[in-house]
Amino acid sequence: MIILDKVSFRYNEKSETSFKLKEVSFSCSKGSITGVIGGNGSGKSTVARLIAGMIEPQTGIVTVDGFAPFNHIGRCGFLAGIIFQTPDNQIVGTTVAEDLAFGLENLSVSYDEMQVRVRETAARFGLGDMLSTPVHYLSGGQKQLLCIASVMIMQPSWMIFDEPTSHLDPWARDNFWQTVKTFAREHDIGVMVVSQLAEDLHHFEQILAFNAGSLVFNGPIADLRASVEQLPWFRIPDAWKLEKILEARS
Amino acid sequence: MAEKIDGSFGCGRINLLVGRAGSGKSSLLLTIAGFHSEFSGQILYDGAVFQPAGNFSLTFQDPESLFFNTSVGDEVEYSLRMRELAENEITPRAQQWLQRWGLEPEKFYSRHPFELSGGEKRRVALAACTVAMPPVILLDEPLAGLDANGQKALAEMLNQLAREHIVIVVTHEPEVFLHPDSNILFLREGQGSWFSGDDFLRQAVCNRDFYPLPRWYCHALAPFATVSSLPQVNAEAVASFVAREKSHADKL
Repeated sequence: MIILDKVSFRYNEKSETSFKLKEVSFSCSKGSITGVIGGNGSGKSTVARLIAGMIEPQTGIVTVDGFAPFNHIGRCGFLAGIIFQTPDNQIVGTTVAEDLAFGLENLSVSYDEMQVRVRETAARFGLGDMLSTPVHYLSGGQKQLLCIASVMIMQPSWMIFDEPTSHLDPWARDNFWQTVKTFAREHDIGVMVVSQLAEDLHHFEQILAFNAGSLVFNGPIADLRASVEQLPWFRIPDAWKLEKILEARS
Repeated sequence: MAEKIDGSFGCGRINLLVGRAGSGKSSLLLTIAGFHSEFSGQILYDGAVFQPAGNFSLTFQDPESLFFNTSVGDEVEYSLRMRELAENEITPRAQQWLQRWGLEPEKFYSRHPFELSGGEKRRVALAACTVAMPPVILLDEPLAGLDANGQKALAEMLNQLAREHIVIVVTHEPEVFLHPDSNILFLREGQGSWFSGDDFLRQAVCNRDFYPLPRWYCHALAPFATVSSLPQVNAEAVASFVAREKSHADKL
């Protein structure tokens, strides 16, 4: 379980994008896909970084499966892995295989086990024929798939995706969601996805909505849909708008 | 990577370049821009071989990662200075252009680009790329990573530019730009296929494997796939279309 209890955070740089997370509290359990939504600058990526242990809250407590991720960043078994929006910020290997193996090498996984996991994970993400490919030959979408695979190979307890589909083609997005749902339902991996895409909403069972550093909604997607009128910053997905217009006309 | 790409991009409407990851979309943009010379055939502009130098601008994916000036103003003015525009024209033109992209010069001109939000950075990047108003504007996924409001606003701006410039956009969200008049080059299996916006929408509605458009759109329009002029991909247009078609069917 992920728990944030009255967490506040502010970046040190003096700029208008140094927003505060204002006493944010919520909990998430495994078994369902949690969506973290909000506009640009709302705080959702900061929440993702706190859970991944990249930054430490100034006040309040963040725990993942009972442990404070910032203090356990090197923990074997990996509490929460994060996939960033920009793949080039995350790829460290010179080839696909090298990047997939990087995390496992640092955990002293045996060579034989590493090879098996690299091949299986690459195949799962459509990179099976590209193990020897230099990463700079990959397209933007392929790089993002590599980043996802490189975290999945670590078998973390939680996967945090920070706008993972923004550079994927639509077919890869469909594949991504199938894979994520499999991990959420069948492999006991908690999944949290930060997204701005209206198309992604219907994949989420639980929604955390942020606006200007505050958590403004926490609940199932059906409740979000019922209360959109009270969220003026929220851009209603076209699918919901269409249903509403057609209902009104009939 | 791709062969026998034979067709044209024009102004007056947006040109979209779509396809799976790795199909060659970005490579084609780079080829048009003159970065790649390993190709056969010709790229022509107004009947003559296209000379890229000074005649195009190109935004790469995540263009804000290429900021190298310490102020928004310097970033936007850079290409005007490189083109040796008259000194007294540079700042006014850059400020005016920044305003068109939705950023007030009074508020943003002297700010450091890194201080801006993601959406603001993208606007600055696109403004800086297009301020010189070259005849050919190439954009590689210009809307990726933006929220829905940002996507809509910037797509509208690019549609305006397309009226008088050849604007070619690589995108995985063609639905944001699609118009019945759109010109679409679809790269797949090493070949390029050309579609009008209407043909593209129709094929996508009938076959998700062709191109996965938003499911709500395909579901709503599946019964009308044989009708000409499918609506744009927004709720209001689809609702009006469905109501009109149902009314027409009732009368028959």
